[in-house]
Amino acid sequence: MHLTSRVPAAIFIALWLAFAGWHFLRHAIGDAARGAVGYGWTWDMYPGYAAASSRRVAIARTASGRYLLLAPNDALAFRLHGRRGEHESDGVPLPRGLSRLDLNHRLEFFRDAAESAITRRSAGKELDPVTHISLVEAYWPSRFNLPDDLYLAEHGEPKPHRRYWRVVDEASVSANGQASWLRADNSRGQTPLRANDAEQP
Amino acid sequence: MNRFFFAPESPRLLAIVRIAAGAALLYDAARHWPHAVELYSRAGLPMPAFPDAGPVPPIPSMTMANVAQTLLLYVLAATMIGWWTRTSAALSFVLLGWLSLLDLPATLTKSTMIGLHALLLMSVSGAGRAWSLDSALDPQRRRRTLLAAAWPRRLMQVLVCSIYWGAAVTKIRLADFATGDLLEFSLLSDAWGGTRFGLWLSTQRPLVVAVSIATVWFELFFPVLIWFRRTRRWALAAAVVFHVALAATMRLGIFPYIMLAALAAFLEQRDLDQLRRLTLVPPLKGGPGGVARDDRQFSGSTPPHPPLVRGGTAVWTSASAYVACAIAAAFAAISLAPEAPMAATLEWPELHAPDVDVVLAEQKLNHADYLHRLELGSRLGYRQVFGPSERFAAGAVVYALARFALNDEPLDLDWILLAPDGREVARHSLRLSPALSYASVPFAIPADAPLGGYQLILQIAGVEAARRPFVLTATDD
Repeated sequence: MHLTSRVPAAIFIALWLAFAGWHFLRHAIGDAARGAVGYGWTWDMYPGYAAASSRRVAIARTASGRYLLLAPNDALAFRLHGRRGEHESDGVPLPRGLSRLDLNHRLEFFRDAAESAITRRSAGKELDPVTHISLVEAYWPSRFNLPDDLYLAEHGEPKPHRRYWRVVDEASVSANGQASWLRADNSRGQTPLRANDAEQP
Repeated sequence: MNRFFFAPESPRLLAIVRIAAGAALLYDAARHWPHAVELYSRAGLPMPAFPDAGPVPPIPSMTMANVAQTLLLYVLAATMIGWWTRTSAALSFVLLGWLSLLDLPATLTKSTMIGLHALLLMSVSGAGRAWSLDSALDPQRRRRTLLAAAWPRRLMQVLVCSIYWGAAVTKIRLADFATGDLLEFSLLSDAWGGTRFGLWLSTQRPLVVAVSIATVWFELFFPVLIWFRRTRRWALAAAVVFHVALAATMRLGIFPYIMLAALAAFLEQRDLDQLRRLTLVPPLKGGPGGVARDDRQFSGSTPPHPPLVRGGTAVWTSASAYVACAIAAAFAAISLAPEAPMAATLEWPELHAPDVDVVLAEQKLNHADYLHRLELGSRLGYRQVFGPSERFAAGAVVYALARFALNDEPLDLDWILLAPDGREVARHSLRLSPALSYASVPFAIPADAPLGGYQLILQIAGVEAARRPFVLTATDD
């Protein structure tokens, strides 16, 4: 039977409307369904916002005391609003544009990126193995994303070019390249940089 | 209801959605193609979307990731041009759904989900019966045009309405939406905001608040007004303006474009007729199965079962060409696609130890960076001040409202009012909990206070963070 005949079409329509209605109701009461199906039927764009911008990098310390930039690397080349290979200078280099580590702040992604880099490096039989990993995040107030002229017009002073760093997680790396992460994996590593909405008493 | 969902209609209506949505999805897929190995393969770093909610889709090898992404480009292009439309749309749905589940940050977006809905509906519709290669290859095209059932387009309309209502619900439940903070910080975001125009808009507080409220009104009322003849075109025009404005102010990828494509589902034959008078688009062929100029002529009638396109040689030739092109695309993917950077080619830049020491050391923010905004007004609302901010009348109450960001520790705030002669005439001190983003204080100006220029200073931990001047006048002008 061709799908566009009446009965299968009616079933398809009924299921479609049922899915749409059910997920809208759940979203409306604040109990949106999780998983792929829930994501595909729940339209909750912009449920919040961040008051700061950030960039994530993984830094490794080797047995000889050298520091290496583990990630992002050539294997994490995807960029939003920037080109691979371009870096903002001044101190620890940050990739220009956002890597996938910056587009989603799940801690497991950040850890996986660092561990993947360790594995690739070990495959090259490096003589100076990595002994410690620091997952760090550079952050700055969102208003610093204004162009210099708009910032001056809005705030009456030249835009400061400051950024801050914080350590998201750390790991010791064993001789066989196994990383033992120090932070309890009880969250998805969301940085506490999101604006909160509690009221002043 | 029967007529609403099952009336036969012009296939051009859904064809517009097919072409526009196909183009948007094709562009997005092309943007991801050079990174297929990184995003989707075992040789890269896939970031599955829902590892804890059900089985993770199979992660392909480097070669298969390249083949899958290339085939996705092929079937999306075939969908767009209307070649084996239903098959192409179905294959696009499967491939895009699979690959998007493997990459949460860069691929699985709401735009992708809207695209998947559109592809699923097109796979069961007559979207390929007009303005398509399928219709051009129809051996009977000179005699008739196959009509399409309305229900896939109706479901697309329901989808659009549910998107707007879902977005409205999300905003209404967020306290910072009506204050304009949600929009302001979204525009300031360097990920999804930040066109030049959008950044300028973020500095215009009254506009930000007005646009925020207008947005939720639009999202609430469009799903209602779109169904009435008198308001349909106005609602559609407002939606087009809304998404064009989104594209102009924010960098949301293909979201504005996929929504514009979905909105095309609300076009009716009379709209196309009106456009046809302005252009040279010919009417659909008449005869058996020919379209009526007004869908009111189809009330209650059972739509004819459109015969499958027959004509053995044409069908088999087209099918063979379709499969051959798919195979050629797969071979092209294998031979031309970028490879994964292997371990030997990866470089890990060495960093200077002093730079790393700075990064790893505990850092204190510059106090001015805790403060996002300081405003003055003559009336205090919910997280907002209203009224003039630069002139106040003697005897009035001056409200100061501060919006903080990045405050992850208690802040000692001092609000200091300086008279025209520089004397401190009032001070409020409070300790702001890190759980709070706002602080406001009132300054009651005595009626006999000296007139002239005052300064309101906000100090954080004894350091000046912001200063706002205002003029005290004798009368309330």
